[in-house]
Amino acid sequence: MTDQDYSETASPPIPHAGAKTVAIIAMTLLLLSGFVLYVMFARGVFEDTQRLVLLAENSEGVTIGMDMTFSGFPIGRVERIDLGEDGKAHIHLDIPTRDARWLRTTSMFTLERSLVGGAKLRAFTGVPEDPPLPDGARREVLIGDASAGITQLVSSLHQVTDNLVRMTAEESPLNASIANLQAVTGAMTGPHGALEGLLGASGAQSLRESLKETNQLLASTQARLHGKEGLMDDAQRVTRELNTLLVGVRGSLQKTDALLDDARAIAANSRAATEDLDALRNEVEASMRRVSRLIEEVNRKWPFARQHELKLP
Amino acid sequence: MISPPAALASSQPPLEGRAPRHGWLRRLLVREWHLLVFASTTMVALLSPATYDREVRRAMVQAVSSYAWQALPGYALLSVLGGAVLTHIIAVSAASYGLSHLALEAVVRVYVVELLPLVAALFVAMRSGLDFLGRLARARARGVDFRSAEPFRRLIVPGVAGNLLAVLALTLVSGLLVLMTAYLVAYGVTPWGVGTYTRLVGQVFDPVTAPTVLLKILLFAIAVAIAPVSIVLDSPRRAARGGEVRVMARLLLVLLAIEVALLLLLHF
Repeated sequence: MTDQDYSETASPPIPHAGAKTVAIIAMTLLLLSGFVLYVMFARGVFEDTQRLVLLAENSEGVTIGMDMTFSGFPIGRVERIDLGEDGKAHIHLDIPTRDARWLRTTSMFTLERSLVGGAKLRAFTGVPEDPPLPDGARREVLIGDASAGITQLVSSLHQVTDNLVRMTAEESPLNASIANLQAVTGAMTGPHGALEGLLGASGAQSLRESLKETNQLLASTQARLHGKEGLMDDAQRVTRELNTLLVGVRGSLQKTDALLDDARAIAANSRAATEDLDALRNEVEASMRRVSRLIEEVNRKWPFARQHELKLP
Repeated sequence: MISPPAALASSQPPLEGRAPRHGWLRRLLVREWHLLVFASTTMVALLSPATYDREVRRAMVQAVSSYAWQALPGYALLSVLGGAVLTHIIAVSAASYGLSHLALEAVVRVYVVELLPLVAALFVAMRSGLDFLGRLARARARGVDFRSAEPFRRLIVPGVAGNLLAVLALTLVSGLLVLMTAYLVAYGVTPWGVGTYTRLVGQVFDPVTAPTVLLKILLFAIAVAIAPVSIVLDSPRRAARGGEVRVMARLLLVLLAIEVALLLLLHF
């Protein structure tokens, strides 16, 4: 086979094929090495880490590579899970040194399992001022399992179902009550209506007779009250007489009022006279004081008689 | 210098000629064994620097340019569009079930890890593999004797190298672009999701998954590159009876077998 034969089987020559081939090979190698480095970086190969071991009752739902979060941010990764000599699951975590500052000696760790999605490892730090968590620390993990309540729920449902079966059984009290209710409602459709359902046939008949007698009693009472010369007529006559009597009493009271007014006027005059007597007494006392001062003056001016004794009239 | 494999020399006419006394199973096993030996020899020749003299290099750069370089832009665009649409669909569906935090992980696991390598291999097989197959069929029709060293080096080795590199380049480039597209669709144009996204990628590509994916890409590339060459192992009569269809069907089976085997390795 000649060169021409080979070239005839080939496609038309592509310009700059050498450069393109080098570019393809270089790009492939670059992408390959870049991918490997990126995955190593993403796996935290280049990070300084410290170890934390969490002890759990069981490691269901925990997988290698899963995150442990703090405030929703991943701060560690499960590196290994093994069954310890104490029968507990030992979950080994790698915590990058820069994220380990969030973990303190008093930090709490939880493993939560939900019905949908995988398990979640969470860390909680209540007192950020506590000493930092040392490398290689071992801590118990608290497990919160949403599906753990399902067993209890199923057990309760069994009880509820049993109760329902008992309640709806042939000889159950509920069935008997419903039968009685049916008998009562059947009686209510009888000639005496609902009364027969409530009181029975004889009771309904007695009640009807009592009602009839009550009606008769009411009729006779009405005749006695409102009939001719009945109690109502007497009451009206007494009321009229009482009205007349009250008019007389009102006149007497008016006269008494006038007497009282006169008495009040006399009392006022007496008070005025008393006030006049007070004024007179005051004037007499003033005149006496003037006479006294006059006598003292005369005695002072009379040179021979220095008798200080003063005799009042 | 690598010579054409002994399997090629011994397999050409005799397989069908000696058939009457052997069962079909024996013929099948012998044929597959010859194919395996031939594929191994070709790979060794591909990795041997002595293979690449001036003529082989020239033929190889033409093949790589034609199979890998020319296919790259179209396939990259296609994978980006597919990645964007798939990411959006999965993100919206996951959000409606309240599982948004699982959407990106699903995209990376399903699309980047499982689908992209298979789609890239099929794309190269349909585009370049068929072209390579046609060239080999034409050469065979011209009476080229593949038992000699020259056709092996100047026809088979460049074609195999071109297809191999095409699968590797297309898968890696499309994988990278889809990872970037998924990030942009999920987070938007912001740098603040890079940390979370990197962590997610790190979770998906764990120490078992990452080598498995690389191994899968490599096996797909080898299968797509070698499959067209198997036509030269067929006898002329067998090749005339739908040889190309048989080659592509066998390739599909091999790709599925690799996929299933690696899935078993990965998940069990």
